[in-house]
Amino acid sequence: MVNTVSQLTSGTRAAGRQHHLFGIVAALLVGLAIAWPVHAQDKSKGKRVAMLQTLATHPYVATTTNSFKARAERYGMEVTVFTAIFDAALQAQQMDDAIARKFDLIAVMAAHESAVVPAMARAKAAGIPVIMVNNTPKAGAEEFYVTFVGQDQVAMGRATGESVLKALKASGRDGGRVALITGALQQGLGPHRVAGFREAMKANPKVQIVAVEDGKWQTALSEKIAGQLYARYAASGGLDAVYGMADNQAIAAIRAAEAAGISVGSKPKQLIVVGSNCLKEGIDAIKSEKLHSSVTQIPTDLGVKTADTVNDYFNGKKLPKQVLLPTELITKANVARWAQKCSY
Amino acid sequence: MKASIRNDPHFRPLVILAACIVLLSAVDWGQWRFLSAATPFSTLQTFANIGLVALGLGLTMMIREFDLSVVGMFGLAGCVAVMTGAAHPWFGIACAIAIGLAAGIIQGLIMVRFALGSVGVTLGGLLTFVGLAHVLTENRSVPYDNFRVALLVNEPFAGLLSVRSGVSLAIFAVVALTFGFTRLGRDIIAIGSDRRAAMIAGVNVDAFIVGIFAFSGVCAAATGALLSYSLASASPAGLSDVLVPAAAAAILGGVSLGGGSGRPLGIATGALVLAVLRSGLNAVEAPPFVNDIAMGAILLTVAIGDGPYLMRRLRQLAARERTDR
Repeated sequence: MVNTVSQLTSGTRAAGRQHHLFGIVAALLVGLAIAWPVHAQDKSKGKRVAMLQTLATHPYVATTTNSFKARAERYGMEVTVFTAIFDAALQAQQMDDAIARKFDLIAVMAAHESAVVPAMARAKAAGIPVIMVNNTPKAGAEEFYVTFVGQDQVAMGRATGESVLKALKASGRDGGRVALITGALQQGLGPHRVAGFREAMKANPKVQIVAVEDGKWQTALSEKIAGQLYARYAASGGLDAVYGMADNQAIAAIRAAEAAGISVGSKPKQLIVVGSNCLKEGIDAIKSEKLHSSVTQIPTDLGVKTADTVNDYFNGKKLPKQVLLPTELITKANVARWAQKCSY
Repeated sequence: MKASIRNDPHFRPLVILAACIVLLSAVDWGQWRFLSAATPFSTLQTFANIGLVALGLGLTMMIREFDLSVVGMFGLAGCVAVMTGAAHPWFGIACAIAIGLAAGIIQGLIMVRFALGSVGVTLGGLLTFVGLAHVLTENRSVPYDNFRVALLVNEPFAGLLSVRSGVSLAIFAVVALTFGFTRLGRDIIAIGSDRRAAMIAGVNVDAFIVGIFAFSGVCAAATGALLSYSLASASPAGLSDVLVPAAAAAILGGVSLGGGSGRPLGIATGALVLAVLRSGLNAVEAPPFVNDIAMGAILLTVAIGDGPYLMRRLRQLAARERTDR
C-alpha cells in the first residue's frame, strides 16, 4: 500500500516534474523566440565600418555622415570617417588603406564614379563588402558593391522637368525656352539629372532646352552663367524657365534675374525658376514664391537609411541592388512639411 | 659640426622626415595604425602621385624658373593616355609622354626666343592644356576600359612597391645619379645662382631651360597617365591636386624659389615627408584639414629657417641680450 502510495506519489511527483520540465522548456522556447531578433540585431555590435565621404565641410555631406555615424553607433558599430576633399586619387588611397586595415565594411560616397572602381575591385578581392552611398556608381560596376543607398537621380531630373512643364502650362504658356545651370557635368549626379529632365521634356516638344551650362554646383559661377544667359536671350524674347540643379544655384539664377530686371515667379510672362536638393534657402524662396519647386534630398534620412542597410547586411538580410529613398516634389502647397528636414 | 648640419639644406629634409615619423608614431603609440605593415606601401603610393611632378617642378625652380603648366599637363596626359591606350597601354603612355615632351619644348623655346618669364608662359600653357583636355573629352570624365592594367599598375610587389611607385623611384635614382656624377648638376645650380656668370663660364643656358621644361612636361605627363590608368578613368579637371604638394615637396627638399639650390634626393625626401604626413594622418584618423595645417606649419618653419635676414637679426638680438647681461 505504502509502496502503492509511494509509487503513486512518486508517479505524481514524476508527472509534476515532467510538467515543470515542459514548462521550463516552453518558457525557454518562448524566451528564445522573443530574444532571437534582438540577438540577430546584435550581429552589428563591434563591427568596424569605414565611411569614406567626399567633403567634410559641405553641409549635406557632413549631415549625412553625422546621421550615419550616430545611427550606426546605436547599433554598436565602430565608425571611422575618411574625407577625400573630392580628390579621387586620395579616396582610392583611403580605400586601399581601409582594406589593409581590414575593416568589416566600407561605405563610400564616391568622389568620382569611375576612379573608385579599381579600389572597389580590390576590396571585393579582399572579402570586404562595399556599400555605395548617395553618389550613383558607374554602370557595369555592380559586381563590386553590395548595394547602393541613395536617390534615383534620373527620377529627380524627371520630377523637376515635369514641374517646369506644369508651371509653364499653368502660366498660360504652351511652349517655352528652358536653360539648365547644372552641377558638375563631367561625371556623377549632374548628367543623370540632365537625362531625366530631357526625358520629361519629351512630353511637350514645344518646350525647348536652349542651354545646358556647367555651374559645377557653385553659387557664384551659377550666378555669372545665369546673367550671361539672360543677356544672350534678351533680344529674342528671353527665357521662360531656368533649372538650377541645386537650390543654391537656383537662388543664384533668381539673384541674377533680379539684377537684370527680370520678374521671377510662376505667373504669366514671369521667369519660372526651379531647383533641387531642398536647401534652406530654397525652402525660403518657395515660401516667397520666387522659386517654383525643389526636390527632396534629405541628408538625415540618407544617413539613417545607410546605417540601417549596413545593419541589415551584418544581420544577413538579403539586400536589393538599390535602396532608393523617395523623391518628392516640393512646392508652395507642401513646403511646410519639408521646411524642417531641409533646414540643416 | 653641429652648425654645419643645422644649416645643411641637404640634411634638413631628412630631419623633417624623421621628426614626422617620430611624431606620428607617438600619436599612434599602442594602436598600430600608423606603425603597421600597410603604411610604407600607402606612403609610396602617395609618393607616386606627387614625386615626379615635384622633381620636374623642382628642377625648374633650381634654375630660378617655375613651371605652372604641370597641373594642366597632368590632367591632359591622363586623358590622352586613357583615350589612346585602351588596347595598347604602352601606346597610350607613349602618346602622353610625347605630348608632355612637346609641350615642354615649345614652352621652353618661347621663353628662350622671346626672353619671357616662365610664370607667364607656363600659366598660358596651363590654361591651354586644361582647355584642350575639355575639348578632347567633350567635358566628360573618360573611363579606361582596360581594367586588367588598372589593377596591375597598383598591384603590390615585395609588399612595398607598385608599378607606379617603382617607376617614380627608378626615375629619381637615374636623375640623382646624373645630377651627382655629371656636370649637369653643377651647371643647373650655376644657372640658378647666377645665369650671366654661367653663360660666361660656357654653360648653354638656353638648352638647359628648354631641356628642363621638357623634362618637367614628361614627368607631369607620365604621372598623370599612370594615375589615370590606376584609377581606370581620366578627367579634364584632373583627378588629384598636384601643384601645391609638388611645390611644397620641392621647398621641403631644399629647393629655393630664388634658384641655385637643391638636389633630386632632397626633392624625393620632401615628397616622402608629404606622403608620410598624408598616409600617417589618414591612419591615425586625423581630420583632413590637419594635413594642410601640418604641411603649412612645416613649410612656414622651413621658410623662416631659410630667411637669411631674419636669422641674422635673430642672431644679433641674441648676441645683444648676452652683452646686456
